[in-house]
Amino acid sequence: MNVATATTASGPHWLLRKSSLQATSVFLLVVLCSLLALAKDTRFVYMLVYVWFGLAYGMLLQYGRFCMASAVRDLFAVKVPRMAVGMMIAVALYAVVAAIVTLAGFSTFHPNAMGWHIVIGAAIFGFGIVFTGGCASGSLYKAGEGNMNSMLVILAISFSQAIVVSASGWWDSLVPQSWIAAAAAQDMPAELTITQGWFDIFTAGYIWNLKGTTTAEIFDMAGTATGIVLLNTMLTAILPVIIILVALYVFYYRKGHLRRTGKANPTLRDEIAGMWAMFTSSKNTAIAGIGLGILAGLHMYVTGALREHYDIFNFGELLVAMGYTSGLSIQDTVFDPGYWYITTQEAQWGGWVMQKLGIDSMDSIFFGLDNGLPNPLLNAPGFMSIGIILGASVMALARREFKWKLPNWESAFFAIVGGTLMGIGARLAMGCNIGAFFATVTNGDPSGWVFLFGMTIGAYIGVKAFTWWMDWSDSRKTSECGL
Amino acid sequence: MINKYNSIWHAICLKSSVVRRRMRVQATSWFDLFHGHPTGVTSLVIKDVDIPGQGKLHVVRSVDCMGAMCPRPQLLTMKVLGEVGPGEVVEVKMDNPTAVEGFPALAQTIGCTHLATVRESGCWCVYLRKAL
Repeated sequence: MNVATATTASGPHWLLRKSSLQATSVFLLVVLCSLLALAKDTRFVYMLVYVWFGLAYGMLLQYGRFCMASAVRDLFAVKVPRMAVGMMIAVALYAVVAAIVTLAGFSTFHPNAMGWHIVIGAAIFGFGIVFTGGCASGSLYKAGEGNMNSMLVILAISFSQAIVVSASGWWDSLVPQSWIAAAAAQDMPAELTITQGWFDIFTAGYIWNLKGTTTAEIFDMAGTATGIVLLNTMLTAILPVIIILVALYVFYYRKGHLRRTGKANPTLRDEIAGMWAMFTSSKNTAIAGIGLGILAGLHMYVTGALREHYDIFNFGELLVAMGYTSGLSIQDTVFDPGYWYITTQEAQWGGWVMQKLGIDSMDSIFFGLDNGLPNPLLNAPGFMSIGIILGASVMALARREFKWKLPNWESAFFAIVGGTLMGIGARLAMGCNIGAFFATVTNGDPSGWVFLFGMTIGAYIGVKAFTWWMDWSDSRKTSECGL
Repeated sequence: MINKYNSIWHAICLKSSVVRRRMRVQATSWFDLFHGHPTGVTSLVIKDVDIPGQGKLHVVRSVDCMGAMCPRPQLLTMKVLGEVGPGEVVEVKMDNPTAVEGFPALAQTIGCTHLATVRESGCWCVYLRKAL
């Protein structure tokens, strides 16, 4: 393949360009805000860890144009495995670093409950990402590139989740009576009204009766090095990654590679060379995959170490110690995963705005018992999401790729509908492709592969629907022109 | 005295009308970025494009994917490549960095040659040659 990349734009030295100065300004703004937060209280360093890891995630996501939505979508839409390969590289590296972190005793990971809800939620999520053009993280970094379509997606994800977790009334008829009975049997404070609100009933009557474990826990080897390395890392993460990479090579890359290299009867050496060519077909994406994998593991280590330092289990305890008691759950906790996570903090943004508009949802399990509804200025994972947006902005400005892009009516409609589906799917599956897949499989929780399976089904149906829509709208335009 | 106040008033009016006009122009130019820009317009063009390192390319079709989200640019390009003859060159204009990144891999998959990605002000032009 003869590739030439050229530019027609020219100007002053890149450091003196307007976009470079803007990138530096955004970066310095984050530095300044961080220093101000530390000046107010040094314990805000816990929150700043989220900010700076978010910033680094954003920079890497933008650098590698790392779109996890395209990892599954492109396999069906255009039969290109580039992003799926990048994602698998990131999974493998995160798994290795996560094993080291767990062995060091700083893991903050909690496994997800395994059940049908993951497949259904992930399928709805996967369907939505085809229409929004990006997953939850992808939408954040694309928003950082100036894409307002992605900002609409974030809004839709935020509010749809907040509505889903707090809705009651006719929604309650969606759940079976057995779940209502199971929820009523739970010993929970009356203020949570867990038999009202379909998501509360779903959580207390269905999810709480399911088991979520790591592979090491299944074999009673959770605390052992063998269990962590062999079962959680090798068996749950690395082995499936190798199988998926080989499958991607065989079904999506091999034929074209052998045709290009002219190997009619390839040897094992040729096949390995082909695999390597697949890994390096997009260097930026591979580099981003490596960086994201390592950073995601380090993030868990740093948060775990800080929890040990402050002798806390959750950021809520630190907030109480600093005198901030508003917006905490009844357990005095807030959402604080300690690792890369996207959707829950966005739900909190939506829930907080709704609360300010007079729609209180603190009687829900999701907000009232588990995650709280803190002020966005005290929402640590929320700042990770903001960090991703700002990090992507810094990188996009530095590379002169930042551009305000406003949606047309069609893409705005897709962003709102697709984002809403992503929000509903993420809540049903208890996370998005980051929290319910990337963070789970790398920490030995096999439920993440179930999420990927569901997301793949959803993306397949989504691609079919999107292609049909494109063909239909094209034929309509053609017939209108013909008239 | 009255004339002096009148002239000041006129100056304020003039200045404010200039500011208003400038704001209006700025706002409309900003909204021009998105108001219903038809994404994915394919047009029949016959033009020669001079690409550094490639020389002159004879382009037969151009796909305008400005503002389009994935996977529209990729799907439209595949459709257009299905319509042109072997060896012909297609130009794809995009402002979506994620889509641009994926085009060399897309070209590999569909058996085309990715000739060049040319960066222009606010967009990229990708040139693909359909396999013979």
